[in-house]
Amino acid sequence: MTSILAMQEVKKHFPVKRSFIEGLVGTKAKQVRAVDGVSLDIIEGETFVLVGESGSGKTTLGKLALRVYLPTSGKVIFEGKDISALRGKGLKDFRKSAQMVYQDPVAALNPRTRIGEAIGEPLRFHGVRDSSARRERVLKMMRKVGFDPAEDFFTRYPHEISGGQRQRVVIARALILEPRFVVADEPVAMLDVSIRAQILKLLLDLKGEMNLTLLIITHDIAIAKYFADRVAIMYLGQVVESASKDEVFENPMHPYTKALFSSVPVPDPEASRRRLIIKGEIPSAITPPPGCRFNPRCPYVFDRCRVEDPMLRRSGDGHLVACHLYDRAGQRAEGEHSH
Amino acid sequence: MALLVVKDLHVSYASPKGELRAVHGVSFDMQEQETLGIVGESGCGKSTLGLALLNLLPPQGKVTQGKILLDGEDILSMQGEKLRQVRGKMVAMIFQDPMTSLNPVKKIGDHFAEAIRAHDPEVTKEEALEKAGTILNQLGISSDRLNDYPHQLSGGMKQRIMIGLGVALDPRLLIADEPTTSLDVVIEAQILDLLRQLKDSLKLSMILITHSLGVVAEVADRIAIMYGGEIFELADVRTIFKNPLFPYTQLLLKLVPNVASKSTSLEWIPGSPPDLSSPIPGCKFAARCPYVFDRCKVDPPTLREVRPAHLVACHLYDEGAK
Repeated sequence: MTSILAMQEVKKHFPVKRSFIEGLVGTKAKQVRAVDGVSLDIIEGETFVLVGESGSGKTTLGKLALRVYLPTSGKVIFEGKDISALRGKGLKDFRKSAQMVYQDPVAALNPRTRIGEAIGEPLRFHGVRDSSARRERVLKMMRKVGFDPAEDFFTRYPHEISGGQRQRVVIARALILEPRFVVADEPVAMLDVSIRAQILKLLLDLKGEMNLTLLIITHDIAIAKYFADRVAIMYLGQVVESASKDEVFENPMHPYTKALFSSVPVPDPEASRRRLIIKGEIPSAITPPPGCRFNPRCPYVFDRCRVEDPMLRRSGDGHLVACHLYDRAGQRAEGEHSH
Repeated sequence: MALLVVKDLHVSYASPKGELRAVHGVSFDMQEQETLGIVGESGCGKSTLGLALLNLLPPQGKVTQGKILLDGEDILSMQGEKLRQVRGKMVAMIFQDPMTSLNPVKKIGDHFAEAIRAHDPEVTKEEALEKAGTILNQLGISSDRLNDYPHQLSGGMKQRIMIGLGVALDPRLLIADEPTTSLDVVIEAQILDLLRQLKDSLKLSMILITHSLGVVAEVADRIAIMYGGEIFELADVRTIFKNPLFPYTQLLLKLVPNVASKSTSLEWIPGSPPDLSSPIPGCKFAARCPYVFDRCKVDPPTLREVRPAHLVACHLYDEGAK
């Protein structure tokens, strides 16, 4: 079990633009703490699913993993190398080995580029000059993602194919350089339910065939349930829980994870409506609450949560959780609280 | 008497590719205080159907055939002032995207005052705002928010405001088009909870248009499954989930991820939804149906009662088909 990508205490803060007046009086620029101290390890060959609501920082984390952003502090290590330090050929090699599948296949494709060219473009950047060799590789990739006959689709424009097919093009383009690590940010969020499963299944099949490691970023817990090896839950810039899929679904520990799971509408009219509905909404990442970030919405909050930020700690077999309820001291405090 | 009767409704859009038949022969009834879920994928005609119920189709859309009777009155033949009075008071709509449905330069209170006073000019602005405050409290929002502009509110709060505007004139029928699609799950659960409460406390009838079987399972009494502009199955919520008859419904249930289920394998439907700009002979689902046989390709099935209160349009249930 070797780690392919490791994050160590990674932070990414974005400055908020100051107003003219604020600039004049010298108010300090505020920061959006999009990712605020995340450590995680992605193991070679696994499907790691990162779940979070909008505003949790999950997309920023995905971009940090691919060096679209450089971290404000902390390190991102890919195959043993700090990717922030990469330059020149090292960086180009990294770009070849780590690729992204984007959410919106309409926005990700140039409407005036034929899909065969779009898929072949990364090859051109990475030195495959011979156009007939490029064409061969593109056609091979197109067959892999399910275009049959590939030749017929090669010269089509994005508007001439369906949404599901467009997402196949985006996947083909990400995989044409035979990367080892792929980040898929909400790969099926824009697709219809009847198409989603096909595309996810395709991603997983290709993962097996091409020995990929996958990081899937999603708001949809069901995707984790069906496709993950391991799962991490993010809330307001931090990972609050991380474990193997079975652990997370059978034994969710963090109150936010529990609330998230019980919020998902269940397609069964006889399912119990007994739910942990949490109040309020995700607070601003500019002024996150002190202590545990979930404390203002947590049904089990106690005094310590309001002052001390819980660390992500091991609590059972590979199960990490950041919650004072599971500290020894925390349990005692809880016990006292309930008496 | 039924609150709403839709009879053989056909809606077409003029498009560069020719006539696009978005809704094709849809019929159903709704009783007072019932919640009907209309489920389908994008392009199945569910939103068009919702707009037609308010006689609110865009200019390129046209009802080419059929009737919509709301409390016995034909809404499609209404015009001007009469239509305006029916919209809002009799039937109101909540749209999918709360971000684009509110006017960014108007305060929340002004949205309410405008809606209330448009229907009853005698009401003063103060009275309207007072009523708006009461509605906001019902929705779990402080009435101080009446002085806020839309950008000062979060997505979940904006959707509550939209719901508040929808019920501001005490309509009898509320049509909600994907009311939770643009929201996060935790907020979605809050909004679904709110809709359930309102349905009881205001004795509302509701049409919930959605792609999510999970959402309708939570709120609806009856479900209509739409595909390619037609209703293919219509039954009460339990029947649809426990004993679906139409093959598309059966597949849809198998491919919807269910966090509560033990299974972790997903099925899917090969192919994609039909192109409605060219006429399709036979059943619209035939191209993707695992049970397709010769008749399906030539003869479009009609929606009929196959079992008590369970309507299906499928040749599999014809006499002697099997």
